[in-house]
Amino acid sequence: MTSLLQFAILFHFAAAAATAQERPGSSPVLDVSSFMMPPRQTWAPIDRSADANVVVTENAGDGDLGFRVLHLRGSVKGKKQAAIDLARSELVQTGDILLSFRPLWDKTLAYAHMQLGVSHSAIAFVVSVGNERFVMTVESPISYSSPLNFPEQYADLDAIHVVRPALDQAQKRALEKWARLIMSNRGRFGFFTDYSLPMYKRGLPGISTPKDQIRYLAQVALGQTDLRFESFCSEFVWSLLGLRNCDPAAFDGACVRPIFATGDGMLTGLIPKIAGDAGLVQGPEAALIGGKFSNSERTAILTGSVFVDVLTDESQLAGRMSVGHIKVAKENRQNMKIINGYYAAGEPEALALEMNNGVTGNVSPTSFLIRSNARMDGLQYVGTVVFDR
Amino acid sequence: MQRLLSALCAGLLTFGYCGAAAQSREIILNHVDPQGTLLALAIVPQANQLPVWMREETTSGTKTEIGQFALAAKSAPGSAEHRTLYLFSSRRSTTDGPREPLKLDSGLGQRIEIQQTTDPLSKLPICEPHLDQQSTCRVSDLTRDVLALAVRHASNTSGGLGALLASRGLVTDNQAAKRVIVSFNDENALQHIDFVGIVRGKDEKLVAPDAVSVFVVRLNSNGVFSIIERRQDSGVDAGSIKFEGE
Repeated sequence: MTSLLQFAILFHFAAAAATAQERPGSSPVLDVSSFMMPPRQTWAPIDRSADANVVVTENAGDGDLGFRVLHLRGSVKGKKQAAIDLARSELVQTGDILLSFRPLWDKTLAYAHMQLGVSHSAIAFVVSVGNERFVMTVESPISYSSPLNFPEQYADLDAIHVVRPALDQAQKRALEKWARLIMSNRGRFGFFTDYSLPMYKRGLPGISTPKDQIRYLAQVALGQTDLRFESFCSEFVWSLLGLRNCDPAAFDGACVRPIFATGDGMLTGLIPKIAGDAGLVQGPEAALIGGKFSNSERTAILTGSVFVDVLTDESQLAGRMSVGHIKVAKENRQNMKIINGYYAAGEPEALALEMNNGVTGNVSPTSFLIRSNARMDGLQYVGTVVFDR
Repeated sequence: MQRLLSALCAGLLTFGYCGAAAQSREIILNHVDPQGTLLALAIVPQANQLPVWMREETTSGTKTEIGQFALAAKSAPGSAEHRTLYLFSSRRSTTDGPREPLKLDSGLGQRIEIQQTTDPLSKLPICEPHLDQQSTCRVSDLTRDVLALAVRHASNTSGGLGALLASRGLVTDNQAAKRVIVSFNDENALQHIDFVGIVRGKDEKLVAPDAVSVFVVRLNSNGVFSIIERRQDSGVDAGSIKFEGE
């Protein structure tokens, strides 16, 4: 049982709307199951797009779920112009979290559903070179850091969720300073492929807690060690955000504060009824609660549509997700069945606690959307970028 | 069902395939016809090796057409056989006897089978993009256009795709997600088809699970394969960046 509960979580799968620009229309790319959509009550208030090349609409799902869609031109996909358009629109801000969203994961495998179709995370900075302003990502793999135009990542990315942490101006300036150090020392940063093994569990000297990870990022960025910071995408974003209260010029470690207000700053698997917390597998549940589905409707969706494998033909799956993602989903198939059973049984607390015993506290790319869906940690959904105009 | 069909049509309209205003556009076949995507991935690279009964084509106006394809219904529950079976019918199907099913390596670690049938497939419903199909359904006309282009020019290619890949030092990629992107020119004529994620450089390292090779196989409208190497349209010197607070 315990081994079954060893979640290899988190592979690379990794407020009311205030816009006056909403208009009828929908994006077929985002024609996905409603549980993948954020609750409207979690949407950040935004101003009108300040650039005519970025048009804002809404895709309504069932209940109170939906997407706020930021439509960009198809011709700018994978190009720097997309980053320029988004900066001009003023809809993406420094510190925003960018989540790679894979609509083609809908109606495939339970694990992909649980991850809400999110495969990757990055952090955005609005920068300028000369008179040209654009959005620049900082992310792991560090080579992906770009104005949304690194081909291996952005050439085929259908959609990008924008999730906004609650950051004041001082915190944004602090993050910029850390980003400057990181981008100036790219060679100190590497990509770690095993999403089930967070840095603080790898036996690295002096890194035995999640907060140690954040401190270590600072030390590497500051050049206080010759070692490299090797991280998967979401722990990189999580660690960087944990330095938002820290000034590199006077770093002493006391300023470190994880972005998630949990016991150790990371997420566990399941919190019964999402009472004051939300775990790694609870993105769909949080969405459905926020979407105002009744208890019986929620259970029916979770057990009948979310935690089930819908598409099992591997050839057909290959047009929807990578072999690595399929492999992890298959490895977690039994876990998904157990979670299905948990919801079918009425979410018994004892079962949740037993399951959590097998879960290593971790942060997945989806974590940021999970916490936003659950209205936690000040995270808010801004919108979803698509390239369909 | 109706919603999905509307979405498909809306998608095609959005991308200019249903006779919308002339504009250069791309359609990602995975979104509008995932069942046809697999067929295209299996057939196009091997179009020059197809048997004659599948290569029959007709020309209607300026358009080349190929017979109808349908994704067969799922095997009965409990069946040990795990395969993807497509049905194919053409005018020749009604005059010739039954053929042995054609087995093709999809390049995805599994074989697909194409079985000739005399059943009329044209009246079957179009496959729904978002569902694991449980009943027989017809692949889209867009997929058929892709296949027709490959079949029409199959005999023209010298050495085929394999020779091209070898000459460029590329190997088959069995890791990345596969995509088929169909491009149209400003007159809505099929311009080229890009196959993404099917090859990579022999020494190319793809660090993350989502990564896709920069090398893309392109089938041009004249039936010739070429290799496209994607590059960043603009690099950024970290030293030249100015953050908002600076």
